[in-house]
Amino acid sequence: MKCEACRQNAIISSSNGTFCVDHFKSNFEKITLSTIKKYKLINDGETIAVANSGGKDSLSLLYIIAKYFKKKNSIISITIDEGIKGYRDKTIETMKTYCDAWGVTYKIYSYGDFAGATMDAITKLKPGIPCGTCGVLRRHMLNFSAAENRADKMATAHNMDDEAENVMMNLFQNDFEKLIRLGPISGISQYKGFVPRIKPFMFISEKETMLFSMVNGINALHTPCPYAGLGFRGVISRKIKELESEMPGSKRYMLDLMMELKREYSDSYVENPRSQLVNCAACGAPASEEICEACNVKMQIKRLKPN
Amino acid sequence: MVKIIVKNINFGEKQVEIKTGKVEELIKKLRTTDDAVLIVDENGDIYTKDKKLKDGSTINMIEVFSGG
Repeated sequence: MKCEACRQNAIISSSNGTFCVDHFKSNFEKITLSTIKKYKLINDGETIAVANSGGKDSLSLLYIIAKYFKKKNSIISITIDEGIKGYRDKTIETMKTYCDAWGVTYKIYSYGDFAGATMDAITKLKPGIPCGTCGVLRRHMLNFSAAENRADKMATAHNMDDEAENVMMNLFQNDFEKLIRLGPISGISQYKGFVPRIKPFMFISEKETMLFSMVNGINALHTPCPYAGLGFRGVISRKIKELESEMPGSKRYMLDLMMELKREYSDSYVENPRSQLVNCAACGAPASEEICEACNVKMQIKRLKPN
Repeated sequence: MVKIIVKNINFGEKQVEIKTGKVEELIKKLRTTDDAVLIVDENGDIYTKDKKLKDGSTINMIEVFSGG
């Protein structure tokens, strides 16, 4: 395959095009910046918190945000330390190295401090697939940390594969409201204490994100979370990759359909949301119930922990 | 037949025999998909699925995964 821009040998062929190293890099940045511009994800003067695990995706995101937005915006890197030995401790070291190199301030928040137990300990206390519990805690802590640091937006490195998985999962769970809450800027409601999440990589595939980190010499750990791939998402993820290989462009079509539905129906859900947000009685964070999911998990862990 | 040494973080190292030497055939033989892996040789060169590998080559098959 030849690069569609210069006819040199290509390193990637995807729904975003077929490119050599140099044109892949420039096209990757172009798509990211045009997503940011088109959906007004970052405005001048805003404080942007970047969810940064120290892995390939989030470091690539921080690289681009630091490169293009550092002059007009305040950038802070936020890391959630789940407490996964031999994995997160390594990526945290990588995160620190790159934040120092790119001149970005970083902060680390841990499950240990919030929930009183690390993810490794939680998996022992609560048998079964841990991804649901981990997701609840991570989302809560990302929002908490972004709010604590007075961020206007929280940027995450969710990519096209992640979003296509979300579309499929919500379809299979018949959750239309969650489906139309997806998109480059999350949520359909404005609420005090809730920091909107932005996804500048939404139109870029997982493979492209991994490749971008490699060709830019971002030396991230190329191994997944040891608990990954165990849940429903793992099944959907494998199926979507099969589908994309059989029918190139199918991930993008899923996203286009979701965006079309969002345009058509999100207004009616803003006016009549299924559930109103309240403040969690325990921690004060925005929640759909009296006690938020994260505080419920925290209380459950406390009950399960041996005295 | 073309013999390729494939390195991977999950299975370590193994020799795979394919007819054409094409990356696409290798990926299929390893029961994965083009969207799920990156094929990189020992010099760091990245191979698209249409590329042909030489007999006796060693490549790294890096699985694409979410997050980090």
